[in-house]
Amino acid sequence: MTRGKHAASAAASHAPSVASAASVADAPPLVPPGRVVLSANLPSLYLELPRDCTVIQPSTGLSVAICQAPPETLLSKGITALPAVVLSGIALALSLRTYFYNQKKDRTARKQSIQDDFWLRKVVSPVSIEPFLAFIGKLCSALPAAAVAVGDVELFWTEQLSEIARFEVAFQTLSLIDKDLLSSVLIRLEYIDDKLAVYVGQLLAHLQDASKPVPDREEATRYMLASSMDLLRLIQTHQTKVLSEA
Amino acid sequence: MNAQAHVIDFETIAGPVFTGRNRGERLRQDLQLDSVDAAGTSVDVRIPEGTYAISSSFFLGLFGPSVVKAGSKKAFYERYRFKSPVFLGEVLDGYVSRALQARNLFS
Repeated sequence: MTRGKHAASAAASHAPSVASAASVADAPPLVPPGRVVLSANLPSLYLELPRDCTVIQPSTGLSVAICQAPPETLLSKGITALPAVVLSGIALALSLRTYFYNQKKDRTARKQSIQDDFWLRKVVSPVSIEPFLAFIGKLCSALPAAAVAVGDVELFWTEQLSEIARFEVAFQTLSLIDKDLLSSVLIRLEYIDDKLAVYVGQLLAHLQDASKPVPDREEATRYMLASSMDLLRLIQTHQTKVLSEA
Repeated sequence: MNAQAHVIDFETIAGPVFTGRNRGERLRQDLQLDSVDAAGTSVDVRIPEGTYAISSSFFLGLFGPSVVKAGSKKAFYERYRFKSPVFLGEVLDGYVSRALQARNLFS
């Protein structure tokens, strides 16, 4: 009975166990499956093998026990696979993130290319911004001083008015990009127009009546340059805004 | 033809340099030019010799809507009769062209 208990516990733990020999007077026990008798002379000396084992006992006397590995539980499988699963998840998340980032980057680049590269650089800038910069430089340097004739001042003013009218038309191309930007730019153009009118008016007043004060030429050029920088800054700010919204 | 024309005398307005769109628009409101235009009344605009400069923004603030309503230079000058120094007359004519130009661009 003791032997039976030993055998049962060995089977439960899946470890082979060795039963102690019984007396010679006992009838040789039946060899149940899973047991390997170690000696023909001592049939009670045997190995108790786990249930998953198959014993092959050829006539040579050698016994071969073939045992299947115990099935892995989900938990044990999971524990060993967990690091790989986690890393795969992180890699997948990074791949998706990269995909969406590239999509967004391409969209931004496309929008920037259309607005900036094409409309601004190839259309708006050549017809308005570049000529405007040249105009302002020329206007400030050619602004008449006090020692000129009335007729020359009047001629100078009408010429500049024609130029400003030309830019009013040229800057209309900005409406292709943003109508609000166009309105803001035209307001700055009006500031320059107004300052020019004030300067010319004061200069004509002085030329026709020497008691009237000489207008401040430096102040006028500073103001017009500042207004032109404001105008350009509006366009620059708009570009930055476009990029940040993309 | 209207018997009595409306008169705008720049001598009564603080000058001799007139600038600023806001200023022009405020003056237009004060003179009630929208009503004058609606009534089709003629307007005599007197600009004295002592006027040195009128900026486009002031002119367009004051007369811009009237120019646009008239639709053409001829129609505008038929109702708005300007008396000004010769030099300024040429300048103001340029402003009328710009008002019509702006109308065409935005229409």
